[in-house]
Amino acid sequence: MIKYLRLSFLSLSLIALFISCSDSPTSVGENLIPDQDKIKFSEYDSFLESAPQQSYTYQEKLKYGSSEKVLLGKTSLGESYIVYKFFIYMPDSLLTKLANNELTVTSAKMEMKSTYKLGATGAPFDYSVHQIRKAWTEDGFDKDTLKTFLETSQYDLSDVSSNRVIAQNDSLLKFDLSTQVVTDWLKAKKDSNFTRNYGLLFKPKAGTNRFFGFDAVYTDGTSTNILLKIKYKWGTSTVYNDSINVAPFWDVHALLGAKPISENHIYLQGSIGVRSVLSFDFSKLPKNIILNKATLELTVDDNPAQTSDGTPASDSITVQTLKDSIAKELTSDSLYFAYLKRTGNIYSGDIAWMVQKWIKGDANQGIILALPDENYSASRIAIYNSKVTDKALRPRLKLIYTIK
Amino acid sequence: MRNKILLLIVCLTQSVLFASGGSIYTRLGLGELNYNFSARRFGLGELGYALSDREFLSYANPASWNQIGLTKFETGIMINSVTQSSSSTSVFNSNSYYTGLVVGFPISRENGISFAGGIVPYSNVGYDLIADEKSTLVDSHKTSYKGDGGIFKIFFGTSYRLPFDFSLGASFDYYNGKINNTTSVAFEDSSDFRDATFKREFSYHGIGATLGLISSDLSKLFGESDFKDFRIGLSFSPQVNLSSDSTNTFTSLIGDYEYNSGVTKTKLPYRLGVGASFKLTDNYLFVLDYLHQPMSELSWGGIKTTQMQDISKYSFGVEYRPSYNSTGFWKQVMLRGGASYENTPYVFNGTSVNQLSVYAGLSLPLDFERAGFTNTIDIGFQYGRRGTTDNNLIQENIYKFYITINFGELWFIPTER
Repeated sequence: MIKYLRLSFLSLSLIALFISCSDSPTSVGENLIPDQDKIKFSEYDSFLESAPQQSYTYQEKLKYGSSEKVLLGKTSLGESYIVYKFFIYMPDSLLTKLANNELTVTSAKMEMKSTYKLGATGAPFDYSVHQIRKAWTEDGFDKDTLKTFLETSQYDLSDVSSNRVIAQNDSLLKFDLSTQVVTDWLKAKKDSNFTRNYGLLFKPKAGTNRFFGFDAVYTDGTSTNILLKIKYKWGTSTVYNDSINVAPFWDVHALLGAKPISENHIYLQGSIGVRSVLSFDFSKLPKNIILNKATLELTVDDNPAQTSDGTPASDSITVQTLKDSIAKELTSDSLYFAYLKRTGNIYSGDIAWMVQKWIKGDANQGIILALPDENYSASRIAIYNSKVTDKALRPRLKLIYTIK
Repeated sequence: MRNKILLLIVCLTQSVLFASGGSIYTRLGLGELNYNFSARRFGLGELGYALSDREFLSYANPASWNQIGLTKFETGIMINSVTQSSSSTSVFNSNSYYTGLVVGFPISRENGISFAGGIVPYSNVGYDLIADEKSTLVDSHKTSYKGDGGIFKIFFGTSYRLPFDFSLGASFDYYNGKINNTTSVAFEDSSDFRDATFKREFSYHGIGATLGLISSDLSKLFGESDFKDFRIGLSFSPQVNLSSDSTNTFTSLIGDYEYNSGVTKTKLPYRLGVGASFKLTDNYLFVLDYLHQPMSELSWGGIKTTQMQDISKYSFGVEYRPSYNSTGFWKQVMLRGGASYENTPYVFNGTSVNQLSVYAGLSLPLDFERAGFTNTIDIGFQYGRRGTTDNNLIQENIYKFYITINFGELWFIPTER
């Protein structure tokens, strides 16, 4: 009997496995699906529903060490400083000649190619360059670090730059660095009595009304956008000339400015960490729905007194979900951003997965709006807030959802 | 070893007992109901409540086990093909699945005491359709409706022959199974709308019973010598209250989420079967049967659906058996035919879905050198037409092909020396 059982099941299994053929599914029978079992699409518009919403602006202290650009300049938005540190390599034989005053630094010219601007072309712009007198690191560098630099005189007050010009169609900053500064840095490698190379502080001068931004350098020193070009000579009977180009090894900037305040706006501003929080009340929304789309729209107040954008423009906004709106703690999945893209004076984008989480039951603590380039732009974007009288200008959330 | 093989059989059977893809009608109620599992019964119109068999097993009437002569084992597969037609188009689906297995063995032939048990599908759900739909709110999309699963029944019971040759049988039935209904919306890849899926799963389990009675030979009352072995059979399965765990899940862009889960009671209405069988000469067996199950009373948590109606199934079958005691292949080949008419459990917009079927079948002996049957391969075929294209309904042409393997061996009865 057991033999028969085995045989029968093996043969029947094989038959059952292989005998199956069907047309692709079609709509035949769709009429028999009751309406209540069919999927329906519905729309929810926070504007039309007059859904309660809240929004406000706050300021986050930024760490500038990982910024992709460094900014220099000053406007009504604030003022931005740059600190650079250079590691200059010179063969030991030449350093010995320098120590014996047999080698002379003949020139030191700094060239900085701009990759970001904010402010009108031709607007006043000037700066001074100072030697830093104390060791620093870009790790953890923030506005308080800069304030300490400025308030405790950790830099030399004398300006070591000269012949500052803006060349190449307003895109290249050039100046002459005091050759004595470079000479001292090189001599300090052999003799501790000379001023050590702690880098340079770039300060915007009073009257400046624009920002320039420069690509931040990589730690391998391969940047060609920011270069210190040093020329030197040695020899008595025969004079030898040579040069070295040095890119900054460390760089960081910090912008000092205040959070803007307005009755009708929330703000996003780069380099001073101005962000905003926005939340909607979804209590009128049906439960157990599946979102097909959730479009968040934010309207920009383009008045130049409110919004000031740079080039490249801050044309997108990042959205992250909050776990705790008081502590501004983000949810564990906030490594994933939603992006709002700007078209005209509207930033819009799909935040369906965030809203879906709230519908599922996650605590709705709102979302944080920020500029993705907030570490390296000086842009200020003014967005009409949840209290502006014209409700059509308020943040608007349009949901398309599936319900069954 | 024997236990391990049986365990494997049970596991295999449970996993492939139900098919997917097929009739949209199975979306309703508990799906398409099964009334029997063997090719022999299908060849006779599916029922056969009055049949007592030495060579075959059935679970429709536990009293039918009273004549089992050997330890019997039956299992099989069914190839189920359906062409569904609307007023404008049609679609073909075909799949195969196990029809279950039944084992029976005699304890006392003299008293008609036998035990039998098995696992068989009680209902099947299998449909899959996709519709192009449009909405002013979203991009063009496809909506799919899928269903699969079903309820199976594990049973074991016994028979006993009463005085005056009446036979009584009873089985304990345990119902279990899952039915899934899934509705999905899928947008094109270029669309920025997100897909959505709703899934509803019902897990059923409950305990029931089946009682059966088969009369003595009443042919003597008619006084015709060729009219033999006239018996009347009755089978009754009382209403079963199935415990139903429902789980609703939706799948969105953040994954699966379970909501609205709960437990309710599903009232599975009783099933009553009445049948008669007789022989003309020793070669022709006739069966007439009627089945009734008030599926309009099917309810979930006390709530009925208007899309269910009572089942009434009338069937007729005839079997030709050349010889009982001869050897040789052709002398032992059995031929069958039948027909049935059925009010299926489905009703739409007041239009009842009815089914007319014809059946054919045969049994092929495996050990034809011996007189009498012990091992056979049984084949059954059903062609049925179900529904109508009126009122936007679906008409289905059903083709079912059954293969059952039937083995018999002496296990528990000591042979006389």
